[in-house]
Order: sequence, then C-alpha cells, then structure tokens
Amino acid sequence: MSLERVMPVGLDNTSDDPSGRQALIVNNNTYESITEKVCGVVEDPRIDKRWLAMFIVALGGLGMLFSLIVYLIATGVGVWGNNMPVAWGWPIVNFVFWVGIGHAGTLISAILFLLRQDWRTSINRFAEAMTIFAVVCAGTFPGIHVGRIWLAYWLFPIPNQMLMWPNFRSPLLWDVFAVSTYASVSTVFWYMGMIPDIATIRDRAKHPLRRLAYGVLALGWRQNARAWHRYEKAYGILAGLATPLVLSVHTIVSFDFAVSQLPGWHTTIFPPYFVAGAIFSGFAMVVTLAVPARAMYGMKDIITMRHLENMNKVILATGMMVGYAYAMEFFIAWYGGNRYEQFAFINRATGPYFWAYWIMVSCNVLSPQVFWFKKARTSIPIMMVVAILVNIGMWFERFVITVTSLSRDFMPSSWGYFKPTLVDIGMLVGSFGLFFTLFLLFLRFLPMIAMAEVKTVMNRPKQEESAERPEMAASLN
Amino acid sequence: MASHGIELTESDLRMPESLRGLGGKLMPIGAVIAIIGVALAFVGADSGFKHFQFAYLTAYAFTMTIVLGGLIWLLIQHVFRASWAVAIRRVGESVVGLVPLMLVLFLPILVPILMHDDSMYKWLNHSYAENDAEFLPNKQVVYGAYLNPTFFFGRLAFYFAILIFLSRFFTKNSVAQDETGDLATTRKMEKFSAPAIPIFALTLTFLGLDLLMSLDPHWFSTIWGVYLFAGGMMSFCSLLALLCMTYQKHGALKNVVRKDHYHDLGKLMFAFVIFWSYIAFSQYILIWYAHIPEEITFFDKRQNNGWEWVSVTLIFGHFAIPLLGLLSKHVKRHKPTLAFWAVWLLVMHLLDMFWVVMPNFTSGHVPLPFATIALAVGMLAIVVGASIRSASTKSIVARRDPRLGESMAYHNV
Amino acid sequence: MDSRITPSESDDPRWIAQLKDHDDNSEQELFAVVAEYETPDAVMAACEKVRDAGFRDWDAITPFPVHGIDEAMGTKQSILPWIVLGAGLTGATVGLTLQWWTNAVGYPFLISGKPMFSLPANIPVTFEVTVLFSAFTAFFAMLGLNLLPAFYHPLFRHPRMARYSSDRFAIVIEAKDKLFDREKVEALLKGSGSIANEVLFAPAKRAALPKVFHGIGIVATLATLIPLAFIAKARFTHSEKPRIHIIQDMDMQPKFKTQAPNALLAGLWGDQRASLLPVEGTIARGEYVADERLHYGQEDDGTFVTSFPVTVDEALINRGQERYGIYCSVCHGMSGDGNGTVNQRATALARFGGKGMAWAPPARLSDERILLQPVGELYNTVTNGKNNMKGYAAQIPVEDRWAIVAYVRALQKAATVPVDSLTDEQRAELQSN
Repeated sequence: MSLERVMPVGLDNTSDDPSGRQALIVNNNTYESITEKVCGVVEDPRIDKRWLAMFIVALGGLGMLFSLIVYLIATGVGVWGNNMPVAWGWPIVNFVFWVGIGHAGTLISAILFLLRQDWRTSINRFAEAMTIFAVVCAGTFPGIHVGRIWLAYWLFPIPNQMLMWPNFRSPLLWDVFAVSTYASVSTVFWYMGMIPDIATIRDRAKHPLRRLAYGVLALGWRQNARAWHRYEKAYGILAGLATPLVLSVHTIVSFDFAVSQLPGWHTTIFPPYFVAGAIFSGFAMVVTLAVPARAMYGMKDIITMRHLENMNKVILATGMMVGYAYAMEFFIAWYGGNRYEQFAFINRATGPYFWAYWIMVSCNVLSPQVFWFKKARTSIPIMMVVAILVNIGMWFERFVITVTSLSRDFMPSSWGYFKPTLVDIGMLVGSFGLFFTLFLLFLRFLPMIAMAEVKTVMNRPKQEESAERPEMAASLN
Repeated sequence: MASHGIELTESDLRMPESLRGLGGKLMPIGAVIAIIGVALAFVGADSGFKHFQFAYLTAYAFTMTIVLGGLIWLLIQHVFRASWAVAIRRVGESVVGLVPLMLVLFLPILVPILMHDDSMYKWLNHSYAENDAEFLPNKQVVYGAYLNPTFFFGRLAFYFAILIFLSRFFTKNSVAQDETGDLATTRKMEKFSAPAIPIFALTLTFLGLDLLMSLDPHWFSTIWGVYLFAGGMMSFCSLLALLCMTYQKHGALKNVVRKDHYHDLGKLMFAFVIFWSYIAFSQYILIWYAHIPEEITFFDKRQNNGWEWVSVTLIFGHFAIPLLGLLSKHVKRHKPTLAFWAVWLLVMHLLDMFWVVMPNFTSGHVPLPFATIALAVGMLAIVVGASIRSASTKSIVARRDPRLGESMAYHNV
Repeated sequence: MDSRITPSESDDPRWIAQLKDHDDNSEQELFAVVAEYETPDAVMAACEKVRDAGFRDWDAITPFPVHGIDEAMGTKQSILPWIVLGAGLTGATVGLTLQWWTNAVGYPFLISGKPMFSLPANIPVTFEVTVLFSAFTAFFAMLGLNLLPAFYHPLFRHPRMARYSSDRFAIVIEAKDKLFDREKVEALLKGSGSIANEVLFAPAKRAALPKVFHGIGIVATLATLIPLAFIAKARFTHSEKPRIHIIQDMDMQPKFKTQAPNALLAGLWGDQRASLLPVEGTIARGEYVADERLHYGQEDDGTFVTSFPVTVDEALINRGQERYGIYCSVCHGMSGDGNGTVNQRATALARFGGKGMAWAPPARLSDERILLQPVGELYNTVTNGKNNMKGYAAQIPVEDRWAIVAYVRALQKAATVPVDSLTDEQRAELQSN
C-alpha cells in the first residue's frame, strides 16, 4: 500500500513538487531510532519538571471538577444557571463541545486509514487517546445533568423493579447508545493499536514490575506475521466500522436538537453539519496538543511540518463546511418564509446573544481562512492561534445553538436570558483539568506514537547498506 | 513513470477504431431513443406536454447530477493529490467536459419557461405568490427577490458559466500537459482545485434548489445540496467503472487500468451508497419526527397513492441490497459483478430522480415511467457517445502526469 | 550456536528469581531454530524459501506488519471477516428486537403520536448495537484466532526479542513441525540470507506459580460475584419498604403537613392548626350558587329539571355548537354518533393489541336512553361526567354547559327526524352538501 518515497529526506517535507512523494519521517530516522525515541519517553526514569507542573495544574482542575460535582449532587441542579426556558444550558453545551472534540481521533484512525492517507500514522495514537479522554469529559455532563444521578441507570434497558423500559423513540436514548458505543469501540480501537507497541516496551523493559505491567497489557503479543495478518484484517474491519460510527455519533447528537420543532434546531442539514463541526474542532484540538507535545518530547522528525500542514488543510476544509451550513441555515430560513424560523436566525445575529454568534462566525469561518496561505499553514504560532480560536469558536457554536433558540420561545411571555453561574464556569474549566490529567498520564506511560505503523510508511532499508554487526555475536552464548 | 519501468506505447494512448465507432453510433441511437421517449409522453393516461416536461426534467436531473458528480470527483482527485485515479482520470474528464452539452440539453426545459410556461415552476406565475399572501406573508419577499423569472434566468446563466469554466479549466489543463509534460500544470490544477470545491458546492446547491426543490415552492430542506451531491458521486463512479470496462473491451487501456482501479471505484460506489442513505435517512427522520405541516408535505406525497412503493424500492434498491452486494472485495475486483452493480446503481439513481421530480407532476398516482426511462436512457447514451467522441481526439491516458507511474503500480489489498 | 536462558537478573524480587532458577535448572528441550534478518526484503525472501520447503509450524517475527509477507509465507486468508459479519447481523437483530419488545410489547406507551413500534426511530439504536457487536467481535476474534492472551512463550526469554520488537526480523521454525530436522533447518536458514542463526531451548516443565496467586485469583473471582449475588437477591425478593433515598430532599421538605400542629401559630392566635381556617364568610372559587336550577339542573326535591333555566335562542344554540365542537366532538363525534377521533384511535389501538386495553365507546347521543333524559340530567352529565366520561365543570362555564345541552337536543332532533317528513327542498339541500 505504501509507496516508496522518492523525494530526498530533508527537514522540510512540505514541498508541493508533484514529481515525487515527500518523506513522512524526516532526518534519517531508522526503525531503531523510532523505537528509541518513542519508548525513551516511557522509559525515562526522571520526571520532567514541565510535565510535573502541568500535571499539578491539571490535577487542580480535576479536583475542582470533582468538588463541584459533589456540591451539585448534594444541593441540586439549581446551582447551575439552567432554568426555564433555557433548560439545556452549559452542561449540554459542554457535552456537545467535548463529544465533538472526541471525533478527530477515530476519524484520523479510521477514515484516513480507508482513504490510504499514510500521514495519519504519526498522529493517530495520541489523537485516539485525545478522543477517549474527550468522550470521558463529554459523558460526565449528561451524567450529572439528569439531576438524580443515582438513578442514571434508568437510561439503560435493564430489567428493573418498576417493570418499565426506556423510550427508544427518544433521541436522548439514541444518544446514550451512540456515545457509549463510541466510547467503547474507540477504546478497543485505541488499545488494539497499542498492543504491538506495548509489546515492544515489554520486550525492552528491565525492571520486572514494568515487564509484568506492560506484559499483561500486551496480552502476549509476539509480533509474529501470522498474528499480524489477522491483526491487520481486524484493524481494517474496525476502521470500516468506526467510520460510519463517527458519523453516527454526532449525527445522533444533532438529532437531540433537530427532531424537535424549535426554530433554529429543526433543520435537515444538522446531521452532516454537526459531523463536519466535530471533525473541525477535533482537528483543532489535535493541533493544539500536537504542537507542544512534539516540541517537548523531541518528536519533530515524526510529527513533521507536513503533518501539521495537512491537519491545517483539514481544518480549513471542515471550517468551510461549517460555514456552508451556517449560510444554508440562514438562507433557507429566509427562503422558507416561516416567520418563526426567520426570527430565530435574525435573533441569533442581532439579538441579545449577538456577541456569541459573531464570536462563532469569526472564529470558525473567518479565522481558518488564513490557511489558504502556505506561510500560515506552516507557521507554528499562527496555527496555534487559529487552532485555539477554533476551539473557542466551536464551544460558542454549541452555546449559540442551545441557548439562543431556547431563550426565545414562541410566546414572548416565556422569553428569558440565560446567565451561567460560577459553578457552570468552574465545571467547564474543571473538565479541562480532567482531560489534561488523563492526557498527561497517557503521554508519560503509554507509547504516544504508533511505532509499528510509522515504520510501515518509512522507506525500507536496502540490504546491501547494512553490514553484519559484531555486537550480534557477542550477545549470543 | 520511467522510474517504475512501465512504458506506454502509442497504441496504449490512442483510442481503438472500434470504440471510436461506438462513440459515433451512440449519439444518434441516443437521440432516437430520446425521441421515442418524447413520443411516449404524449401517449396513455397522463399524456401531454406537461408529462414530457416532467419526464425530461427527471432525465436531465439524472444526467446532470452524474456529470456534476464527475466534476466534483475530479476536483477531489486534484485537491487530495491522489495518484490512484490518474490512470482513469482522462476517461472521467471526457464526461466532465460535457457541461456545455448539458447546457444544450437544458434548452427543452428552458425554452417553454422562457415562453411563460408555468406548469413546472408554478411560482413563475405571479398569481401563485398572491395566493400565498394570506398563509405565508413572509414568503412574499422571497417571491419578490428570489423566485422570480428575471433573477431565475440570471442565476441559471451564472451557474452554467461557473460550471463550464470549471470543467474547461481542468480538462484543458490536463490535456495541455500531454504535450508539455509541465509539472507546473499539475501544481496549478491542485492549487485551483481547493477554492473550486466551495464554489462548486454552492453552485450545485443553488442549481439543485432552483431546478428541483422549487418544484414545490413551499417545501425546503437545508440538506438538499448534499443529497444531490451524494447521488451524483455514486452514479458517476458507477458510470466511470462502466466506461473503463467499455474501453477495455475494445482493447484500450489494457495495460493501464487494473483490478485495483475497479476495486477503488467499487469502494467509492459502496461508500456513496452508504453516504446517500445516510443523507436520505437524516432528511427523512428529521421531517418525519418533527411532523411540521410545511415540511411533511414532501414525504406525505411520497408515502401515499402508490408512491410508497417507489419509496420502499428506493430503501431496498438504493441502500440495503447494494450495501450487501458491494460489501465483498471480490465483487469489487471482478469486472462482471462490478458492472452489474454499476448498472443497478444507475437505475436506482434514475429512480431516485423520478421520486424527487415526478410526485410534483402527479401526486395522486405514479405515472407510467416509460417516457422517463426512454428519455433518460437516450440522454445518457448521448452523453456517453459524446464523451467517447471527445476522448477520441486526444490521448486516452493523462500520459505525462507525474503520478501516472504510481497509479499504474499501486496495490489495493 | 545454542541459546540457553540467560541467568536471572539481580534486581528481580526473590520469588521471580526462584521461578527463573527453577526454569533454568530444569531439563531443557529444543523449542525452535531462530534466524535473524536485517531488512524486510531479506525476511520476505527467506520466507518464500521456508514456505517452499513445506514447513507448517513456523512464523516470521516482524516489528511491524510487512506488506507482501502474507503471500511470501503462504498465509491463508483469515475467516475473521465472516465471524464479524455474523456478529453484525446478530447485533442488528438484537438491537431491533430489544426495541420492539420493550416499546411495543413489554411496556407499550404512546409518545408524541409515534407508533409503538416505529422503525425510523429505531434505526439509530439498531445501528449502534450492530457496530458494538461487530467491533468487539473483531477484536476478540482476532485475539482468539491468534491464541491470545498468552502470557508465556519461550520466545519471550529470547535475548534478541527486544530487537525483533524494534528493528530486526526473524524466522522461527518450531521443533514440533513434522518436517523438523535440526541440521536441515539450520542449513536452510543459513542459506536464506540470515545474519545469525540460533537454536532456542525451553524448559520442559515450567515452574508452578506460587500458591498465593491461586488464593488471590479465587478471592478476586468471588469478589466479583458479590454484586451479582446482591442483584440476584434483589430480583427475587419482595419488600414492602420504601426505596432507599440517598438524597432525601424530597422526603424532608421545610413545610407543614395538612393536619400537623404549628407551635408558632398557637402562640399567635391560640389555634395550633398549621392549615389556617378561612376567614368567616369566605366563599371559595366555584362554590357560589345563586340558582339551584341553573347550577345543578335540579329542582328543590332533587329531580332533574325538564325545562331550560336559560333562554333558548339561536345565539345559544350556535354557541353550543361551537363549544360542543371543542369539548364533546372528540369523543361523541361532530354529529353525536359516538364515533369521534378519540374513539377511532382507541378502537384502532385496541385492535392493534395494546396489552390489557379495553375501550368502552362513547355514547351515541340519539340513543333512546338519552333521548328520554330530561335536560337537567344532560346538564348533570356534562357537569359531573358519567362512567368513563369525566366532568367538565372545570373547563366549561355554567351558561356554556346549558348551551351544549341545547345543542345536544338539536342534534338529537336532527338524528331522529323521519326522512318522509322532509320537504323536497330540504332533501335536495341535504343531498347537495
């Protein structure tokens, strides 16, 4: 599947020269140096001070999130700003925001795999990790939003003492199935991809406890070709399954809104529009994480400028799709001639939440436009700024959808203005603590690059270049 | 391509005589079939000029979405810098370059409208808007500013100008490279394909809105453009696979097009069967679930009076059966099986367009489909014949594309 | 070269060292011959040789999946896709059956006018369950077909394994192969472009795991059964006690119950009832009755009035027609034939088989029973309801109830007129409608 990369292996691999393919891994890396680099992070006995500082901050955020959840449960959902008519306030905004971010990982793994985009191999591992942690954050919010969370098991079709069953005709229940399926399948996909790399760490481990821990996780993987054959089959099948799954998850999240009759929520483009938005925000988050991570752990040869450039292109493309959806919603609201629909959209742009709407438009549609220029796509500061703006913009998109439509009911007598409380804000900040705690632990203890996959897209070494090494004989006998 | 050691001979690049002859024959045959279709429209239960108009629009929508599916397919190849399809790209380009022909074929729709015929687009008549004044006061502005004859013709001219420009730009540059072998041409097309995609997307959306959605001026759906894109891509990939097989049957492209190309086309067909179903289902469930009067009319028409059988056929024929049929790798790598499914999907695309257009003609019953079928088959034959004829004047492979070597050597399994 | 197990490393805990000592000192038996290669191309070329030599129990070790090695080794296509297809179909069936049974059979209830079993709404969950089943099956079937997890394998003790996991390639021909002959195998591999050959030995009998591990295993297994046991107990026992409330906000509300005493009020007014009595002379809403005939439709002696206590004119009947259309027609039908939309729907549902559903159709207003009722009784029925019908006193004001009664009388009259008594003009008018 992978073609020989015929272009010279230099540091800059972003050239557009169509006469050959640019190398994906630069700087004369070999199989061995890849192993050393990736495993080196996990095997380093010292604790990096920068890592520790970030971890402590993240733990602080996590602590705050847990305390606020305890406060919420003990007191009730009144501690939030949610109130009629805006019954879905920040918690649902946060849920959709995090679930959206949780799409890039499986997309990179699955869709790019099916499209034979080899560059995915350098970034898929930690994009997948990001996915899972984002889904953990996402799952928290509807979980605590149900109010009496000790009854949250009613969401599942479990035979219970009331002889009642959940309502499968409700999109909220579809959501339960979609998000939990997504979380578990993504985890399986991520873990399965990691098994060969964990086996590498196991084989290199010196300390028996390390060997035991990674040995258990590696499930006895021996890198043998007959196992690889089935492994690749399974991987391809999982990719084929995960692709419609990614689409279905955010589609179903969009159904939560769009099956209603609320102006601004009910429109048929919601499913693909939500999916595009999710991929958009997910890639922005991958860039936000990849840029510092590759600098901190010396992975610039593996996550090269070309990878970042490609991701920026995806951000531009999905940003345009989101812009298309904004435009279509607006146009069809006008074209349809329904006065409530027209009001909903004019109210978004000029009503009490106009600031949120224009933050959304400028961050999501305008800011990625700089990526038309290669200079911007390959500039680290610019891509960081745009990626963060996109993250902000996508949070506001969900805020605009959820809050503006709810705050203006059909009857002016039931209009309202949603204001978040400190607990709302604290929980959003705290969810970032949860996310980064998990992510930093992952960077430290698991292989952050899919070593085995990266090696498949490197140029194969030629037989004659290598001579027999004397150490070989010494290690035997 | 020299680096891969596959040398193309002159005979690989030229179209064989027999195929050229087929191309020449197909156009008159297509015209005859289309004329039979016209005649059929004036026979039987719903006979009349109006039947002809709707049947012709169905056939036109069927063909036009295929050509436009080809255009977006081509743009996507360039923007991805994809190598796999370079070997079959010229075959695709020969269809994409037919946008001007599609403008000629549009005349039978356009001319009656220009002569103030409002049997298809009811809003062309001023009194239609006045009837709406009471129930849809806010729609009046739309009739004034958008759904009016002057702006409608202006828009159509604009759409065709854009589409002709895009199709000419990419086919011409590609052919130019055959002579110059200039790498800058490849870069130019790749660079321009990126902004061309959003331009194309908006054009397709509004063309679809004006020609098909506005048949029912009260109905609206924001996903409409995506729906047409999905069906068009699926059908274009089917047609491209069939065209490649035709070329090979006549001895062309023997060393160039391999199982791997068919496999990839099959994968795209499969993917777009699913994507179409996803979009169609999304549109259906949202409208079905919310059950808002102004939207539900669309499906209400298509779930009653015999139309429900067309809908059910689409669910199975356009989704469930090809989903299972195209699942296996062997089906996609095997020419006869892939040809079967390609024809199947083209038929289903025609049925899809029939289902979109025809309930606006007779919502009370399903009209006899023979006029539509003959018109669609005739029009497709004209398009295929024209594409073969246009391909016969140049190399049938983009022979100096820098990625041709990759395309001829890649493996898909 | 023979590769013996290297001596245990010194930083191992004592029990691991003991296990290793046991293995090292036990009888060793030949496990396999291992040949090492430097590049993927080299190992592929060697694989073709081993494949052509007809071996079966052998494998290549590569740190990543090498493209093309399956053909070089002659690996057969895995049956994994078929297993997954089966799982997917099972998942689809389970997903759909679950929704059908729970929502249409086990616990049917009507929601937003959708059918009990509404296929479009069931597709998302069916799809998710299909993917869930298929994905997990793909993963576990892959492990199963590869005979994993396996936490021991002689290769794990091979000192070069860390390299095979990183950048080197190897071929392992196991001694259990029928064609295995140590010298021939070594010669074959030497001639295959390998950079080193070695023979791997494994202990014939491995050391037993320390007893404490069995203990831990048993305890852990039992511990996982405890929650299940509790659930099973809860499932099969009945309790009269209220459910345990973790958060008791609802149980302990800061308010007084109806009949409870209130010490504060006792101090203020000397009456310690928490619910204060109304001020004397208060008339509660709806309790004011000016005229018994008008409000109750009854005479002083309790019999129903037989004449209207209000003036009956066209305006009243028109008003009654309108009110009847709003409140009564949904059950009794626009013409009073008892076949309103509620009746149609309920009859259809009862036929559809809603479990335990019984439906008593609404009365036909032109039944003789009702024709004979005095207007007061009709009024009483509208006010207080009868059988299945609930009273409408709360929704319909007194005058409107009388208007409805008047209109019901008109309907009855219309329904009982003999055809013969109509003039030709009247017939024509009726037929034209």
